[in-house]
Amino acid sequence: MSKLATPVEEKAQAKTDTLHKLDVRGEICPYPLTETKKAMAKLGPGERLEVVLDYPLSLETIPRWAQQQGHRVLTIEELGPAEWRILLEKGRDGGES
Amino acid sequence: MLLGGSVGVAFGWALQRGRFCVNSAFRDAVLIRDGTLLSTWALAVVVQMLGLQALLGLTGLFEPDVPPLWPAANALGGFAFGVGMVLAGGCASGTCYRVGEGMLGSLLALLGFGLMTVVVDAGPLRPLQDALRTPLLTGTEQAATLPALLGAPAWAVGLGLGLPLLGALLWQAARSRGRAPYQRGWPWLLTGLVLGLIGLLAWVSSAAAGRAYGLSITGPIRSWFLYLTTGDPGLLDWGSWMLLGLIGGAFLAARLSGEAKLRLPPPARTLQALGGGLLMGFGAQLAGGCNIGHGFTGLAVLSLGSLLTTAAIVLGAWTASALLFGGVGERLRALRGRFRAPEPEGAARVPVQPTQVPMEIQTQTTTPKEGS
Repeated sequence: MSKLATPVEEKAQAKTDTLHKLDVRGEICPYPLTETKKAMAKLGPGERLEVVLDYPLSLETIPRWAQQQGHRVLTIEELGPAEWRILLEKGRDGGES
Repeated sequence: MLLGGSVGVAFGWALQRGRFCVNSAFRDAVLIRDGTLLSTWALAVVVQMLGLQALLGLTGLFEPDVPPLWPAANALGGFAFGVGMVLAGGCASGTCYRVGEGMLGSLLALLGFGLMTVVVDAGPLRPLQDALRTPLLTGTEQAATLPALLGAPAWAVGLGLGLPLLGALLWQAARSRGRAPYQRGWPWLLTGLVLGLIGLLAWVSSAAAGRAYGLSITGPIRSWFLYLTTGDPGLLDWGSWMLLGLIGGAFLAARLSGEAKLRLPPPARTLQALGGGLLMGFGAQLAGGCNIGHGFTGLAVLSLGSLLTTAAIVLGAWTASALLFGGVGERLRALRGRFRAPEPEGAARVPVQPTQVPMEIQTQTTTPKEGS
């Protein structure tokens, strides 16, 4: 379903490697977010994190949080019934978590 | 049954589409400085309060029941409930709508919640409830409300408190032009408004069925558990049917928007949800209500007991969040790490948390940065 900012993604694709994955399916408040925070803290600037989740509330709070922290929200895709994938890129200033 | 059930369906629908969870609202405001849900909650409370006070002030349609002020039970119960909802990952309303979404951890929390309401109200913990539920204002005819305390008419206090707050919320909404980066559910303004109106409708609908109170969850859960264990149909009322409708409405909303699916958290978290649910039931039953009965409906009649309980819930939620997820917990872990033999890696990785600033409803104002 809804793609977000495709041009940005293409630019990001060029940065090859370093795609980290986080699967928080089954988790509810606030674990999808806290796990994302932890995972992002370990990344270097420009590295990307893929978060797979099935909890609707976090689907909205994670992008809000990421944006507020200066990370980029590259894409948000629906993988299947009640299952989504958020692709984040760590901001240059690192976005202290 | 029809009155309660239909309000319940609307309530559950709005809860699910608006992701209305008071637990997330209080927690996210501190944990990630995201005040969106907190604004939703405040707007819903204000809309309901203004509507109700205006309605009662103008028509005197019915005499609302006011939750009593039991300082010890309100404070202790509210605090326990607040801690419990953080563990369970959802407040009473949040847990109920997530049951409709198919979250089995929340279902377990709800069952634990219900069990504990009966344990405290009719079981071995009844003496504790009796001991703590000592009213402060015995002998007075008047209900313990803020207007009674101030000696002013309820509608005046309601308008005096509600209008400025409503203004502040709307002003804040107008100022934050920034679109949410991603939104599947309802925007917070819509959710707050709709929930406030449903809360108001609930008062009228429930009063028509002979129950002069608005939305609540603790009482209705208890009524089902008591009914199922004693078989006395007299225990079921408007609220019981509302609760069934709520879960059904949340299921419908989730189903139609492709967000319903049966899912189970990891084993340890499932157990944690059950523990949280038990604690929530214990606290809510002691306090005489949860984040809905007190933290939504009771605030609309400006009950002192509800104000106290709500404050205690917030305090409990913040304490538990700080220990589990926040700076306090991380600092404790860091401290513990320092007393251990230095680990080759990792121990020093604990990120220094910015100290928690006093919470304000302000995160809305952050304008989205286009990239960086």
